[in-house]
Amino acid sequence: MIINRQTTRRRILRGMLGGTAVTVGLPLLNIFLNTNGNAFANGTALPTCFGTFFYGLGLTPGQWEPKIVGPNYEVHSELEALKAFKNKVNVYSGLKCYLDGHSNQVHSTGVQVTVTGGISRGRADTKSSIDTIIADVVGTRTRFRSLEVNSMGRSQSNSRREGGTANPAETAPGALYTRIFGPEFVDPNSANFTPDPQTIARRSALSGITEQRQALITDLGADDRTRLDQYFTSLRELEQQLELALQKPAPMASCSMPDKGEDAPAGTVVEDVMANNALFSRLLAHALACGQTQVFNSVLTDGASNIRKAGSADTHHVLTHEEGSDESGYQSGVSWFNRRNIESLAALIAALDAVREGDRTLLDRSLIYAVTDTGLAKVHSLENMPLITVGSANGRMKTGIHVHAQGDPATRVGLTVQQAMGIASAAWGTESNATSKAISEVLA
Amino acid sequence: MAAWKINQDFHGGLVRCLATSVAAVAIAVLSSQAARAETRDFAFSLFYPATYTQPDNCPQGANPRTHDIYKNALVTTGTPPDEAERIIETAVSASGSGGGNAGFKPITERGKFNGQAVNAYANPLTVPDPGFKTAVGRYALGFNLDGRGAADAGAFEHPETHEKGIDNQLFRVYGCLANYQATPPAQPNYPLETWEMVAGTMPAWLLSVSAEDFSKDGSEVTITIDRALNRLLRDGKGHPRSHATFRVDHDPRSHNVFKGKIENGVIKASVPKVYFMGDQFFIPDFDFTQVKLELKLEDSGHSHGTLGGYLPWIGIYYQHGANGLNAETFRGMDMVGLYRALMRTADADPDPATGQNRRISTAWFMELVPAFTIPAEQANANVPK
Amino acid sequence: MLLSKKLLSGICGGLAAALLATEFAGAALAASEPESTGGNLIVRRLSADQYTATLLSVFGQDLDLGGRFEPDLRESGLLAVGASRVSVTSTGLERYEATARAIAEQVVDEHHRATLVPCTPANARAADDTCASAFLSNVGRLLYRRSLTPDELAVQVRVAHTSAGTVKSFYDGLSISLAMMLTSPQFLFYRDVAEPDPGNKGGLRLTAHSKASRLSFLLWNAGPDKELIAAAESGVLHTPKGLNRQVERMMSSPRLETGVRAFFSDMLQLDNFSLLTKDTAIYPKFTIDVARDAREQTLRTVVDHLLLRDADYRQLFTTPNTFLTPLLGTVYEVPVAPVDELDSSSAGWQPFSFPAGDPRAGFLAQASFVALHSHPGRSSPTLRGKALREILLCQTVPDPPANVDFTIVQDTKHATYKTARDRVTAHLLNPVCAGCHKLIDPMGLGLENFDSSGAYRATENGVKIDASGEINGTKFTNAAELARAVSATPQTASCLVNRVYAYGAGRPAVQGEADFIKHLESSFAGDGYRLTALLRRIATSKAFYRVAAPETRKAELPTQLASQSQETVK
Repeated sequence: MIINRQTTRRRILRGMLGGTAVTVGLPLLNIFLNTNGNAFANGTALPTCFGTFFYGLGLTPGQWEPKIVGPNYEVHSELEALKAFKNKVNVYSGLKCYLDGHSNQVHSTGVQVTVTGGISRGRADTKSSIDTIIADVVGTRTRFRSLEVNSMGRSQSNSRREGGTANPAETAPGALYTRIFGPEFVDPNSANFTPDPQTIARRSALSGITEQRQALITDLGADDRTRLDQYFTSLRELEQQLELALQKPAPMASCSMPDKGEDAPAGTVVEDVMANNALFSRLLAHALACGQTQVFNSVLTDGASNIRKAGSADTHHVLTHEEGSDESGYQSGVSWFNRRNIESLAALIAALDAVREGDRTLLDRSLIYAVTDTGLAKVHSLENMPLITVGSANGRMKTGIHVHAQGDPATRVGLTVQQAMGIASAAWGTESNATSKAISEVLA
Repeated sequence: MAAWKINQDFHGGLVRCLATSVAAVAIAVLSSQAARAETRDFAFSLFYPATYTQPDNCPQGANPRTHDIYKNALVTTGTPPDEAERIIETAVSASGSGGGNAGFKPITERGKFNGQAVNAYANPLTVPDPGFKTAVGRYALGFNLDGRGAADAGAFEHPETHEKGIDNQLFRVYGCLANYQATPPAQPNYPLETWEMVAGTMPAWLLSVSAEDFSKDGSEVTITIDRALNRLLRDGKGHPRSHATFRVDHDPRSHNVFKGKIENGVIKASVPKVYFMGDQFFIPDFDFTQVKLELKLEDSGHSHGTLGGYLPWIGIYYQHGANGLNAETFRGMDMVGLYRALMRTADADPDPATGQNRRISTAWFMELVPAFTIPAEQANANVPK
Repeated sequence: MLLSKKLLSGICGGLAAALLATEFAGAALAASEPESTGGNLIVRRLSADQYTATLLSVFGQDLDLGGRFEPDLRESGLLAVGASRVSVTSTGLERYEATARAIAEQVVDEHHRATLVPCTPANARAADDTCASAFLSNVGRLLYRRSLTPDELAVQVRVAHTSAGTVKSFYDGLSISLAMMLTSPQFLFYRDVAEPDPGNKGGLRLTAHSKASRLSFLLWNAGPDKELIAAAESGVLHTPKGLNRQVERMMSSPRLETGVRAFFSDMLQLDNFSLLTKDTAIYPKFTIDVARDAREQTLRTVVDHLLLRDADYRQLFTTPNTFLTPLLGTVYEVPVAPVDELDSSSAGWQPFSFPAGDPRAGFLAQASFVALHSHPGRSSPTLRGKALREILLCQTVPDPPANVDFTIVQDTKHATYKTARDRVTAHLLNPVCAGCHKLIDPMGLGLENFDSSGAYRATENGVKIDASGEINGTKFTNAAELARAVSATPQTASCLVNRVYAYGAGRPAVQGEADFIKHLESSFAGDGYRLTALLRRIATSKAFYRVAAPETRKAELPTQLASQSQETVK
């Protein structure tokens, strides 16, 4: 049987341009990816990681949306803290959550839409959150399917399964440390490797198709034979992927034990919340680098966020309603907290970006989906929801782009994220928040 | 007036239509009906109390915000200041960390009745008057509702027409709250938040005007205010969609028909009573008396105007007091203070027994988008597969 | 052929010639089916819709099919033709395999196995070849559109067997074997196979199985069902009576609607809705759900007009009848009350009739035409004129040269040129552009009363819109008259005939099929331009299943005027 084992990029391009078969879109073969021997040691890509980051009360309209749409956007005002990572960050503006006549359960409806794709009619009606959809596909072979943390020290997370069971969050960094790096921790580089039986079976199934090639191309015209050969080339690529997954994975060179650190008190004081977020972020980065999980959920604050300066009853939430604003809706006290929230996201980004893997970082093989509960919190607006993604998901997302999609459902970002994570979702969301339109300009 | 046919096989009724380019098309088609009066239908796209904030409204400063409301509430009911700070810190910290609102009990139950602690929001008069600040100043927007004009000592002057005797005591009550500071075209925060909360879920309010000739000054118009059975739709910018279709609710409580006149291009009307159902998150019933209305039809087909009248102040208190702790926390309104301010400032409908006024003068800005209306009972089509 | 050569030159003179040439195409009324050579054998990749429709019919409606597929390619005006040019990329195959696994897992899960797996294994934790074989041969017959060969079945059963051993579960093993089948080329591609035609000495025809597939994809946009496969296997499908019987059965099935929707989605290029965006600052009402409803509006109108009413195709351009949602009502500015008073959103389709003479009647005024063929922030007489010629009249319009200055056309706030007509007229001062625009724009200008979102407007920038123009020598003064002119022009009907044939055959008609196409065109007229009659004639014809002899295949140039592809022009 003839199998194209020596496929090269040049040969494929030549085949596509010179041949008569028309293939839509360049195939994303492994050989097209970076093969500098670092991130792809042994020919295996290190796994793609996914995380959600939630902070409450949105951002102030006019204070975060870049004016420039597309690449090379400018970072300003409340997004200032993301400046250093701008090239790895996508900002999405103009997106909204449709209510469809459901009441706006203030501070929770927006989260439902951005995280589960629609508005539930009650707990039993809750859909799976995006992280569980992703974890069910990418997280099945890791020690933890996903890790949930809450920097305010509450057990509430935004991760839930169909029917509404929420995954409880880890409430203290110290406890998370023990859970991951305590006595049960096994160094991934010294562990025994057992190939996944499911993958073994899949590989043998694909070989079963390959065996039939000769019978299938008999009597075909030259053009159609070329097209079938293209199919078999693609099949061979898929087989190779599975073969790699059956080998002992590349050593996780950047895996190391973190310091335990000291927990800040749980509660509402902003400095404590930020300190715990920094600790959690560092632990999550180590957990990802050591292959303990591929999915995490970080909740910085509640939706109606009660973070405050020590000694003050003016919580972030109180200020959104109480504080006077100028004509554009700007409230300086609210904006101060908004900036702290984005600084906390920046701390998470920095923690992942600090893990170097060859000439890239852990962040480059990750995708963080940062969401919030409102657009303009003052009026509980579900318009112009600030949405942010960080990281390129191992090259599947283009980064450094500002997408403006006025009036489109916010679920477009969630769908895009799923597709970038390799989930076979063609559509996501319910009622008017349903979409089959991923944001193609950011999908690589 | 243009009549529309929605597939007569399935529908029987007529649909009222606004006069825009659409109506122009329809009129051309149905010229036999051209002699009839024109009707323009609208849905309320925004409704909020008229404010006209000026720098001299609050010489004593604004009403206090959350922390000070809590502290005043405790201190004026006998808690030492240090202890008050401790209670607040404990309550805020626990609530913020998911511990519930139990820590606020000394605040919510600051009323005293027969020596027992009682809920202050349900029993505001069991708490000493905390001294709620209300607005002073010369100007307010609204109408001379009682006709007393300059003789009305407590009334305002209209900043544009300089008409005296403008009755808008609700502006006086709200005038020193941070959330109600706005001079048109700016809009006050809290009313916008309320509208944002109810507009997508409460049945829409409808307004229709009919006239023989809208371009002729002095023409008589007929104004109808109703409530719909369905809600507003929004567009891609989040604004209410124009040209949506509404079924008119038959409920007679929300049905109002009255006459008005076009004066200098503005529709004006006076009517003893206008009543329409509201929403639990807003004022539950808008029960206006001695009503005045002004409406301007814009070239774009949209409309805006002002509706003034006396409302029972207890309904206004209910809007805030029903969720008293939230109002004190997020709206900067001391509930006891608000109650007493409404009571003090109310300017109409005295209780025959006590002399206490039961209504307060108000003025509301309204914005309207063109709409279609059809009767509630009009049958729906069977949708072919 | 002369005409093809003219088109190859890529100038609009060729287009004008093509316009004249089609005039006589539908003239002669032929009584019986003329001889036809057939065309090449082709291999087509399943479209996403075909994949979905097939699986729903095989496994039932309650499966979550999810899945993302490779983008399709439109050639000669049809994705159905592009399907014979595309293959499967590496990422595409990854998606097919992931989707296949997700579906296969559902088929054998605890909710479905009782109904979908015909037997129970002796031991659920081990292989059971008898049961696996029963399931795989049953299902395989529907997926491969023919019985599996003994070798194919053996491989499938072996994979089920070894997988059951590896994963310690009969059902998981079965699911892996089923996923393999759903990933295999026998399922993802459908292939014409020829055999000698006993009724046409020396000629070829499709085998009964290939014939069943061609028929089924034409009428249902899915693979053949059990009954049709049985008719193919028994040979009955090769008899005129047997074929007629199957065609009648399939045409009276509700699945015909799926097929008709698929055809019009393809011909009217409604798939482009997924790429359509409007500038919300200018058209705040044109939201993503309005786009979704607009697409559906057209499909509902098509199904109602052509299937339920069985009416004249040409009247699709003038019919006042359509279906609207409350959301669409806000765009077209007509009253559409919500069905459920508590839900004013797009749920709830309602029949709607525009009053006589209303410019918004007919397909051309639907957002599926005027909004789909506009720029995000402005209307486009040129895009609309081009779409009218290419999509509805099957003519070819060359792309503009690369170095054109569009400044004036794009400036909707131009101080002098207030209307689109003013702007394109100014653009025509450039003689390079004038040649083509003179053929395109006058049609598009007739739709200028519709802005880019599909809303009616009487004026642009305060100036009354002049929607007059001319199409193939017929003058019109507004959209309604344009619609009547399009309805009456003979190319409209002949274009549909050509498209339906190309859609079914997977390729445009070839030279040797020209007589048959002419025959179809004249019988379409005789049948009152009813789509059902056209489908029936094609489906029951001999020509549709003929295959060209190998030596003549290569020499064929497509004769069909209408569906010259863009590549040929360039």
